[in-house]
Amino acid sequence: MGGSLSFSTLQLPAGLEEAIRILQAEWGPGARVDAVADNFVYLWLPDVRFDESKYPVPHQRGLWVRIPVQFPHANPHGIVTPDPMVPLDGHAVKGHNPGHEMCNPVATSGGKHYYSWTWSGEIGPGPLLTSPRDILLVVPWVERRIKNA
Amino acid sequence: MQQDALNVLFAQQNDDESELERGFLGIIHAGQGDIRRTLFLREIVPQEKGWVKWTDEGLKFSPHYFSGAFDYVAERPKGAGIIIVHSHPGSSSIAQRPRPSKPDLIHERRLLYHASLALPEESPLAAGIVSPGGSWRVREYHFQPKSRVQGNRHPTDKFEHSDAMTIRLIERQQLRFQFDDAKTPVIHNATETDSTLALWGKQGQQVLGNVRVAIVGVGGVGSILVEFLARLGVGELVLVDYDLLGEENLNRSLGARRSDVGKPKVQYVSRVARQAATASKFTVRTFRGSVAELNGLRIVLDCDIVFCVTGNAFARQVLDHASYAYLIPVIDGGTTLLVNPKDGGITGRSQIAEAGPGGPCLECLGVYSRDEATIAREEPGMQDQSSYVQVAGGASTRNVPRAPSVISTNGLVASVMTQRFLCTVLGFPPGEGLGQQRYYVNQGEMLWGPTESCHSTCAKHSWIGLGDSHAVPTGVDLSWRQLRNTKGSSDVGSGVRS
Repeated sequence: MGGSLSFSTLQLPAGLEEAIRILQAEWGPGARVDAVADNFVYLWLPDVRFDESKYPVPHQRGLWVRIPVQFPHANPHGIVTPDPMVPLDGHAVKGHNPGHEMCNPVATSGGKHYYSWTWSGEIGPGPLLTSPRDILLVVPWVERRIKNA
Repeated sequence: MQQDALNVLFAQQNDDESELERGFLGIIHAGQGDIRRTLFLREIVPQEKGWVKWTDEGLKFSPHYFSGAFDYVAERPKGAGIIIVHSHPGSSSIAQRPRPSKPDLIHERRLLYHASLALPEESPLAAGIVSPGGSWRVREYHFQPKSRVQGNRHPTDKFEHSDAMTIRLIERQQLRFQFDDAKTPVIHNATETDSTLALWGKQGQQVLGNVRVAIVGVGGVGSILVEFLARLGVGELVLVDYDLLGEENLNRSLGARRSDVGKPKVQYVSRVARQAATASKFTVRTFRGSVAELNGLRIVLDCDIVFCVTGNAFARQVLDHASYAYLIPVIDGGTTLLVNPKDGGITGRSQIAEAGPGGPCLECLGVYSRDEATIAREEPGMQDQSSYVQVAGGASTRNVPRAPSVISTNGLVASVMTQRFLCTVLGFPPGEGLGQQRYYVNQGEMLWGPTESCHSTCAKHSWIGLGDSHAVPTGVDLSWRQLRNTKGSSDVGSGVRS
């Protein structure tokens, strides 16, 4: 899952480019930018962990995180998934917007469900982002947010 | 930095050597506005004894010193360059600016040409002289690449240089100017300014007449600020706003007429400014656009000080970054009023804050949060969390409702902001206050906020004077784009200036 649009010629700001390089080198080479829409890029993360005690299989899923082009000076905002997140206990996940226009930039790649999660939301303030390296804090935040959704 | 420079150049030394002149190499960065280029002196490269020496032929800088300076440039963010500074015997008055001699000019040009060969092409190169009183004169040099110099001419003969029009010295919410000799007196009519002249004298009025002030957001508070600043004798105002005047704005837009409704706010406010101005060579520039976008930011980078009266956290964040990277003090103000739906009771507070080198930033002062600046980067219909978070099956297109506003609190905010401006540029009281002042509507009291410095995790002070080497987080202001798209008329272009 996850489209493979060609962004080889895309010019991202140096801070974000460095962050993506760090993420690919230290988290996983499959991380990539699939779309840019105004002030956000849609960053595809191929293997995000879904907590086994809260979610059915598969426990490794791909999803997009909306990362600000001006990273790290603004926070990640919102997640797009190909399939809805349905916890084992069946409760409705807050902020779930199926078919929301925020999915449009990656809709052709399978993005169908928007979760309007803010960095400082339900699970308290996210870590302070100060350098491109802090992109490595994003994946654990997403996994923690999913676990507590 | 000024004191550091004076220490290197003029401080009494214990050894017996009598040196007619001293010098140092400094690391500079450049910042490019729409019409103004600025160089920022960030640090002085340390020197060992004998590296800068007075000889019969003048002041000599050793190759070791230059080599050290090149290493500094290589280790600093891209865009760093070098300035050669030397002392200039003469007046101890800061008002009297030194003049370089012809040998000075030839010597510095040669040195900088050779430095240009060792540095990246984008590195700025400059030379400056400083008098014992702390007065500067600075020139920036641009050399033609060696490959393009024709014939037998010496490459140092192919250059351009520009003299700095204004030197700005900035520290702990104080902004002091050294103007070019060509700047002219500005008092328009002594009888109009007599009573204020008694407070800060002709010299102070001269400063006001030569200062270029940006007002970002010319709504309820901004329109009052324009009137105040123009009447005070400020020489140039730069007005930035993309909004149109609405019927509902008339109860708080100073100087607006019913016939102005539907037109850009900057249009009527510039008329207000011209009518109120007391400076002899008053100029008002308008820019229809957003400082959250690069072209809007460039306009503000031409200015000496900025008033931020926009409610947009994205724009506030951009100005907050710029105040440190480009050494432009930013005075921010606004009011939050809340109406209790049950009993109609009104609560709220007005807050005035100032950001810039030596003081806490707007983010650490709580003027905006990182999350607010993030949400402000979304489509207008998406900026109010409650308007869409729990909506399933489609997006809300509702715009964020405007916060309640009243001309009396706007006037209060504009007054205190103007006081802060006078404090920063003229040393008008209060001289000691840092951070924010808050007026609590319920209590009718104004108090200083608790924050006097940035949080330990805040990086803004490390960006001081980086200029264009710091990537200010500009982007696309989607509220401005939406307005452009919905109005679609020819006078609603992007970044319209007049």
